[in-house]
Amino acid sequence: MNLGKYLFGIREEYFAKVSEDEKRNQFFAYNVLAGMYFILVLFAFAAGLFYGLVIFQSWILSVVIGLFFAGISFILLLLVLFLNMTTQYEKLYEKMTDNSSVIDAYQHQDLSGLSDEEAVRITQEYKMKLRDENKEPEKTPFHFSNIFTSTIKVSLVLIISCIVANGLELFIFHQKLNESMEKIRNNNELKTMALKAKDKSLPVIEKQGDVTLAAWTMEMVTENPENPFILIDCHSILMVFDVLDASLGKYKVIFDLLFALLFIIPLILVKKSRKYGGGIFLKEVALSDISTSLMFYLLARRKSQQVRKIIEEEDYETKLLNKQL
Amino acid sequence: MKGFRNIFSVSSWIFWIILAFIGILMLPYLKNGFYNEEETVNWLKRFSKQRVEKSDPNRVEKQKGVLKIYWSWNDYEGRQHEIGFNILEQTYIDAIQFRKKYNINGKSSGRLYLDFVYNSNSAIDSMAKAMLKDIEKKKLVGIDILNYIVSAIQTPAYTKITHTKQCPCEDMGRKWLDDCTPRADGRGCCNNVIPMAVYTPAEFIVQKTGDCDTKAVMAFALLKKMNFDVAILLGDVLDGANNPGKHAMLGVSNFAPVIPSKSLRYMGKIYHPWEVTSFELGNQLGNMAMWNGWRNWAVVCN
Repeated sequence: MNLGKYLFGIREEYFAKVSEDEKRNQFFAYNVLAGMYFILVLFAFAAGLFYGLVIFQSWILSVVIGLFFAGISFILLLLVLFLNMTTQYEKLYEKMTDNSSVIDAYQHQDLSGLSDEEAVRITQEYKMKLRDENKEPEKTPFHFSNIFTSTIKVSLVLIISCIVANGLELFIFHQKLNESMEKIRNNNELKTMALKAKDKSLPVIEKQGDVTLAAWTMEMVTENPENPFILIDCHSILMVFDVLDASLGKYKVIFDLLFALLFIIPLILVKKSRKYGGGIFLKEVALSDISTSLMFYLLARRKSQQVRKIIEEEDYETKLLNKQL
Repeated sequence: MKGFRNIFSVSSWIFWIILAFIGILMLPYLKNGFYNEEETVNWLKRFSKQRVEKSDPNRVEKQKGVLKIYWSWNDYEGRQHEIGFNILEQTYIDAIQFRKKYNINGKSSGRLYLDFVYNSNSAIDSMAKAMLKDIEKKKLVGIDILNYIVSAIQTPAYTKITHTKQCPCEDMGRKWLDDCTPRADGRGCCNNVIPMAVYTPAEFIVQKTGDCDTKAVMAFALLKKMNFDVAILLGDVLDGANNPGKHAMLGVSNFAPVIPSKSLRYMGKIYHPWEVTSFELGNQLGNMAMWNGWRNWAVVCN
């Protein structure tokens, strides 16, 4: 199974020049990363679904919200991963981002007679030369802007993780939350206070603050027979979070941190593990990019020189004057 | 290279372990250890706590330098009213300082009352605005507005105010306690209120404690704020035990007395007295029957 193919474009032809071991290694690394990524997106979908179930108490709307949130997470997480997925073969990276040194040798050559086969040979030879010259990845040089960009990426991932964590905690503890809601619903003191809000003989000032809050709380935990509760027996997501927060205490922070770690790990892998930045796949992608760029430069240059020769050989001015054009 | 390989395996393992842990958590068995249901009971306790704290309809709540004042009373028609408004705590503190440092030398009591009113302007303004909002909501007009305001001032129980240390003591046929709060039994007494045993309106708003002139000044200030033609009246009376004493009342012009008795002519206007010390049906505009004497009455400020 090649999960990486669907996400990162891993294809067999990139590994034509590497050993089977190396190829297997790279497939495994990208499969692991893609697996993690798909699980996180699935979590985002689930979290959106659970939020929807509490807020709207409707399956259709919840699935729509789940898909919407999963879609956003899919794009943002992919963006963050791809932004970090640059080869650590620094010289290749430089040539890929600025090809002036690659094409420099052909700037003043006559390429008008260059055949397609010759162009392919030149690019393949150059590709092989670069492959041989860049055997080992190098440490990426530090730049001050890295702090800024990394902070933004990490913050983005943490925001998503925080939303997902709360959504999944709702599901994980939904039975317990429902037991808590039952306790709230059956609390006599709360019931009495909520009834005060409906008592017309009481002055308005007696119905302010906690009485209003009690009436609202009772309303939130009271099921509408026409629209029964689906996941959690409460209409207010904020109240559910308040109860969840109070009931989990310090464990809530631990769970949130675990989810944050879950979301940060793919980013750490891509950033720090040499299986990605220092791996053969990104090196081959860079080489392919450079050689394609060189190939098309040669073909474009050849064509432009051929056109120039035709223009120089033909007397277009006389033809124009004689109205032969 | 080995270190980098380790990053991959360690990070991957951590990921899958966390995932497995979350998966296990979804099973019903492990949750009890993390979810404390007792906290739901604590969560519910906030309601009972708040109820005790807020049950007094005439309470004062202090929050970050702001005093939230609640005022609840009935008028002569038996209608219940309640208002809530904010004043800065600093306004109250400043009013106390202003009173204590007030130089009375060569100044009349009328001048002192006006200075106290000016000093407490922001507090009076807050209360007047809250009252006007309620008055507009209830669509009150004419004498009903006066009744609304004066009954609000009359409602807090009367407190004897002295400029020296007199209480506990016996006076006007009553035993007064050394307790400066508006007591339901009407035996509250405040000692050492200088300079002239009168509180500023800001102090009265917060403490709800005062005697005849403190309450008369407060009613005068509120009604003036609402453009009524009012005054503070000072004079001599005899109480139930025929003891002579100074007394202050509110004077209202341009309104017919509800219970006609005495009145005072001042600069072409007729002022009807209004007893503001306590809330009673007899203490309505114009009535002076509760006092045996009526001597030397004058308008001290209008």
